[in-house]
Amino acid sequence: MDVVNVSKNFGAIQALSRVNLTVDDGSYVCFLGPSGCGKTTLLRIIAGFIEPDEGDVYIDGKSMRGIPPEKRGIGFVFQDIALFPHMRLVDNVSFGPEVRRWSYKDALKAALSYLGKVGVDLDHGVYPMEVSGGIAQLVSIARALAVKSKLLLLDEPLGALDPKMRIYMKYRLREIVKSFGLTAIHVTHDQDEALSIADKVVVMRRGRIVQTGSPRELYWKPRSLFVAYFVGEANIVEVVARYSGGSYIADGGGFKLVCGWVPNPIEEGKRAVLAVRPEAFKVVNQPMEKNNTVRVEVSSAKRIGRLLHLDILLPGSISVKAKVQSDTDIEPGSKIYVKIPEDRCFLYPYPKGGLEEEVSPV
Amino acid sequence: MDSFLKVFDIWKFYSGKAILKGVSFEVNKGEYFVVLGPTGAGKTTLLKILAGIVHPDRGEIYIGGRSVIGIPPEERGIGYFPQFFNLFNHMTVWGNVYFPLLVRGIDAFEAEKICKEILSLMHLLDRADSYPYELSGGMRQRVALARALATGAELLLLDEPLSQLDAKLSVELRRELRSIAKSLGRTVVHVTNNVEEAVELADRIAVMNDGYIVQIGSYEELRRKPKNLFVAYFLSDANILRVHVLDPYSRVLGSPTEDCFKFKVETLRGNMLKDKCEVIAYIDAEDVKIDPPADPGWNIFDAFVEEVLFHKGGYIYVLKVCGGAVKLRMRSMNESEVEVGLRVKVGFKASDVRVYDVSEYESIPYHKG
Repeated sequence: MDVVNVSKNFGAIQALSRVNLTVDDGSYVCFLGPSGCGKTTLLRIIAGFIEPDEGDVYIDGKSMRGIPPEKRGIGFVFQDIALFPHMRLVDNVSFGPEVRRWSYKDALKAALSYLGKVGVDLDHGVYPMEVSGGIAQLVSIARALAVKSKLLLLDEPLGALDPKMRIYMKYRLREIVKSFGLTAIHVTHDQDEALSIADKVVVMRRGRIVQTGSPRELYWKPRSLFVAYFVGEANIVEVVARYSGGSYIADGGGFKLVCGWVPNPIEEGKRAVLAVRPEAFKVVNQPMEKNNTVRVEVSSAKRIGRLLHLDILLPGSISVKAKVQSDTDIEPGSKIYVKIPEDRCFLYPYPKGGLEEEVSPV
Repeated sequence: MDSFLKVFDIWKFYSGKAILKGVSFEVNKGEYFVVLGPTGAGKTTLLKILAGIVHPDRGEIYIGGRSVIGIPPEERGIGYFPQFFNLFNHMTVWGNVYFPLLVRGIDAFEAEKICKEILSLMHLLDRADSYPYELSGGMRQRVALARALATGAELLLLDEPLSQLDAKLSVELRRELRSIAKSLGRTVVHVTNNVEEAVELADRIAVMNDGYIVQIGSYEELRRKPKNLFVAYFLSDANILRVHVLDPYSRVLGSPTEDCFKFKVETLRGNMLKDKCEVIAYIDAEDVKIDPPADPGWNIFDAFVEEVLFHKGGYIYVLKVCGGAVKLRMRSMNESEVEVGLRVKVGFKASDVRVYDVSEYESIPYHKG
């Protein structure tokens, strides 16, 4: 599936601006972004519910211009579960094949088989109202499978579910997509959800794609401060950029950190922003290696399984969050050494529109 | 510590069905207390009873030492944030927070002071002149929270206050909420179905299921000593395996059909000591390891790496054991070289397996192997 140069305006509002994207066959792709970023509009254009003002969508190399949604070979799963409420679950699934002029007997057989394959094992007489949201979502996937869709579009499919159910279902969705060799595009505002199941995440903001990459790339190589902040968690600290010996250094007054990830050049001596993920910190006994080790004060500590969630004060009383793997507890008030590997220190130019504007989720 | 809120043996029936079945707990002054449970556990009903909107069929409630049964909501000294809140649409943000203060008889000068303070705490001061329809969902949620805080009530009752927000906003507001409540010295009962939210906010958590409070404790206490399978399952990412007791004397469990999946546990109790008896084995995903030490305390298997998924800065591995008949989930924060398709050794300690009676399987509604 390819999106080439797609733009869309709604009146004066530019919903999408020159979007280009390739989705590989068999991959699980998530569109991630805050409300109003254009992710749902892009999904609807791929589906054929909305025509783009400019640009084209290609599925299997064929332009989809003028081709209605039902002829695009796409299956849909929506947040507000779009099953026919007056039909039994099994008829919801057999409906597609029947419309395609299968005999009722064959359609029913196919429906039961697909329901079984997605793991829905229920009495035939059950209606959509009688099952949980998670089961209903599985039924809508079975319905897509029954009409042999190869591309599945999921618009906030887990939005209406209980958090615990959401976690179970997201892995289940990926498992089903992979086991049937489908291609999936899943729209969500929840970065945890996107990062944990996607092969590729497309981060969007204000109608544009700001970065595309694997979850690991987005997490450890964010190309902008916005991505560092919006995708996952990041501590953000104002610093002065130094450049010496071929490396960038974040100068925070009381501490200096060598930064190994500096995607945009910054002038020596200029204001800059250091971003550090809580998981980047390591507790070390001694400042064995002088590089990137800082003495800090622990202001609070909370154990979550094998992880310690710490609030620590960098020199200059800058409060940051750290998550460290440790089997021994650390008392609040104690002074410890933490090391941040160079490639886990991100440095960005100070944003022109101000810090708040840059990280604002709108 | 003084207990500020005492709830004793609350029962509630709706058309003959018990929604709350003898709920009792105490909350200390200044404590952030979270009631956590799945949809339908009875959390919202409980909160409405505390607020005085719903009357219990039985039981007692004391707020600040005073029995409040029969006392109307406005005289209970509470700030209530309902799951589906309404703002006054014809009033600005300022009016929404200020007006209820006047209604409570606070003089205009004082009300203005409180209003300013709360709006600034909630980062709403620059939107004071906006009307609700001009605000995003997250902003409206903040206004409703500000209104509940401004009442000055010592006891705040919050029903899923962060559930309608974008994920990122919800996490941000979560942090502010606790620090604001603490800095104002309020006692909070906060209802949610979100485990992470509970973990981050709570001094103590009450886990609720099916009309009961199953267990109360700090997150760490609940994780270390879960009272039953439901608590263990709800609070962590676990492998839950239905297996049989293959040898009760050497404490070997396993699949009755797959000879290659057998493992030892440390203790088996009571009626689980029967041969062939079916049980639930629970292994936390954090306790599973790739390349485990060759130590008699460990159960070790050959496995095939099916998935390596990113997870909050670390990874979740899905490992197929016994040619795929069993799948184990493993969680780790370490970067590793393990890739999809590799064959590895995987293991877990006998002492890390918890064994539950098979009847408890019913208590975990969403799990399917």
